[in-house]
Amino acid sequence: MDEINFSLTDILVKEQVFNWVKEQATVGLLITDDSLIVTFVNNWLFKNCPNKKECIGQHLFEIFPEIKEKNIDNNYRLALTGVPSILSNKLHKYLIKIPYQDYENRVQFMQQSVKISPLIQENKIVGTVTLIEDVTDRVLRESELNKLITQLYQTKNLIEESEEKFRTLAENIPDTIVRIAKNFKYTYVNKESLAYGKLKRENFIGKTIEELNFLPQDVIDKCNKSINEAFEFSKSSTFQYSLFLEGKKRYYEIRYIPEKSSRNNEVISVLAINREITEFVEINNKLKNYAAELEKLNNTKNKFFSILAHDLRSPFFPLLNISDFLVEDFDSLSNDEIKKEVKDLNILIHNLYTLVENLLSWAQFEKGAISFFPSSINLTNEIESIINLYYKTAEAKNVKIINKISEDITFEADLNLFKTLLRNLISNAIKFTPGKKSIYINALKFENYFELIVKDEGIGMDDKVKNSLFNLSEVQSTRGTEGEKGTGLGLILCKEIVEKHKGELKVESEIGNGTTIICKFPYNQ
Amino acid sequence: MILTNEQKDSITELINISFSRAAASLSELTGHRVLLSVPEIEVHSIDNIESVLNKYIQGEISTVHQIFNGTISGDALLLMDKQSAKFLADLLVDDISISKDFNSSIKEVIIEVGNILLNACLGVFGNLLKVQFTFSVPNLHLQTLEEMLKSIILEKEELRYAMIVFMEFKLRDSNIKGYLVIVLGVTSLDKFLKQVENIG
Repeated sequence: MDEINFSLTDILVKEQVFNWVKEQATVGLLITDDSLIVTFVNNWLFKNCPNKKECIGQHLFEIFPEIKEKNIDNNYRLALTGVPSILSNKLHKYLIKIPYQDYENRVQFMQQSVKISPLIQENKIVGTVTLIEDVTDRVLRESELNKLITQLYQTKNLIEESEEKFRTLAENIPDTIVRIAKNFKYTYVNKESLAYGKLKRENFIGKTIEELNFLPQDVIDKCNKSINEAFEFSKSSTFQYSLFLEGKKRYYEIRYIPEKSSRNNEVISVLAINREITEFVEINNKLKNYAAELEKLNNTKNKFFSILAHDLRSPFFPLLNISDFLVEDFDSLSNDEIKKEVKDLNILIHNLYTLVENLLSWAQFEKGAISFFPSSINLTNEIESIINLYYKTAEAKNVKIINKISEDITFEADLNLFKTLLRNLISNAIKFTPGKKSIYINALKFENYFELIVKDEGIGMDDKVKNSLFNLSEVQSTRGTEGEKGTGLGLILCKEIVEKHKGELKVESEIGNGTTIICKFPYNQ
Repeated sequence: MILTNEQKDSITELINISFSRAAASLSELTGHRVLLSVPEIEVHSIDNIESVLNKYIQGEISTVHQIFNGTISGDALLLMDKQSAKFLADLLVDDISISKDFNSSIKEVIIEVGNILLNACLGVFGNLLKVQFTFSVPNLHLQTLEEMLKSIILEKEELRYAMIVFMEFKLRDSNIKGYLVIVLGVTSLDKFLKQVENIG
């Protein structure tokens, strides 16, 4: 009973499958007997070939002559010997002609893949079974996909070509060029970068600037800041830095350029271009120095002419006046009067001589032509000789010069220059010290240097005058307590002499409280 | 198992004749001149087949597989490395695409070409053994050699041998290598070789 039930179930299932294949299947099913007479076609075929409705009982090749025309009849003969065939769409297009209109209303034929198999019943071949699959949509999709892939490959080729051009350019310019990814690692370095970093390409790629460790930390920090700004704010930036390489200071300029995606404008990498600008910086520095030098020379020249025009000319007026007076009134003058005029004449000539002397010394300093021959000098001896020289001038003004130097100091200096310095310091002090006052000269010893101090009890200076003492364009001549004239050049000359000896000159002064000049000298040059 | 020189010559000649017919079919079908080189034949135990083929073909391979049944039964396989299979299909259909992957149409072409070659080869067997086979519809597998062989050997207890036919397609200035493998039980192979000797 069970066996009967099972058979009935089996029959029912088979019937259902058959009905589904006949009515619902989305593939064509065509069955022939062993004489290739059509015995069954499903609805798919009727639907697609409405003019072939009377095909049952007809010979396959008569209903579908295209099978023979396309030499597919042989596949049916093979099927009748037990050999199945696959007819691929690419090689055969279709088994039977089923026309359709495409979206541009052109008549096309349905693209088909076909399986032709023997129909076997009880181990005997009793006919053929043909399965026809409509692959038109698939073929169109494949065709579109192929076009897309071709376009993508063309784009890829263009990108590769463009990349190649970039590489050719990048590899042949003298700048270092690197590409940095979002994780701050190098993805490309050009040939010049390898020489700069003294590294192989494989040591560069995939590393960060810190990992490479060939730049100082402050430069690395600046680089990382620039890279970050390029990624975060799409900002280009440039900065300069310097390195000591092979015993020479070299200057570089590095530029960070964000590279954006053409798709969403997002910064995908950063290009860093590093250029050595040592030559440029050196030339620029030279130009700056030349400009400063020229400006200084120009100021010097202006001052020089101003001194020539005023200070050198002016002293001649009293000289002329006195000499004219003596020539015209000599006979009527008493001996005392003549003596007084000659004495004035003598003072004026001395002043004029000092002026010319200082002017020439200063001019030689400015030219850099001054001779400098340091030798061992005893300070006390030299101070004494200069004090003796100015003793009478000081006495005439009733000014005392008090030498307070107790230390025995010997040091190296150019004797002529040092004497010029002392002359100027003492004559200046006398000039600005009124009668009944004193000038003190002292020296303080320190370990590596000593200080020579010249202090007067003169009229002193306010801050404005003090600040302009060494500015050539502002320096003003100030008359002495008895109207002595000067050029303002003396103190500038003193400063230059002290600096020539690698020392320092300081001025301390207050109105009414006198002036102190401190010259700091090292013992050895 | 080593074939005698006479057996080898006889089988080579027979397969060569069938290959010529298959090449003519392919030429007619595709419109391109297709030649199949004179094949070389070896017989190995199924256990050794992997090491033998591994010398020639590695990585992902394309296999057209047909099972045949009748008085004797076995597996017929056409093996090519994946890229060669794709290249062969491209050359045959005159549509060389840049993509390295198979699409459904390319798979069908490879199955049809495999079907033609396997039928030609098995036709020789049928004629020699004077038996009729029925064949399964061919399938295409894309997998490694090891995986493919596992699926063939699975659950087969009889000592089995594989006849390897080394072949080469020559078309449009290109040579593409393929390997045709017929896996038979020892009884069928013995019967086949005796028939070959009778012809010789």
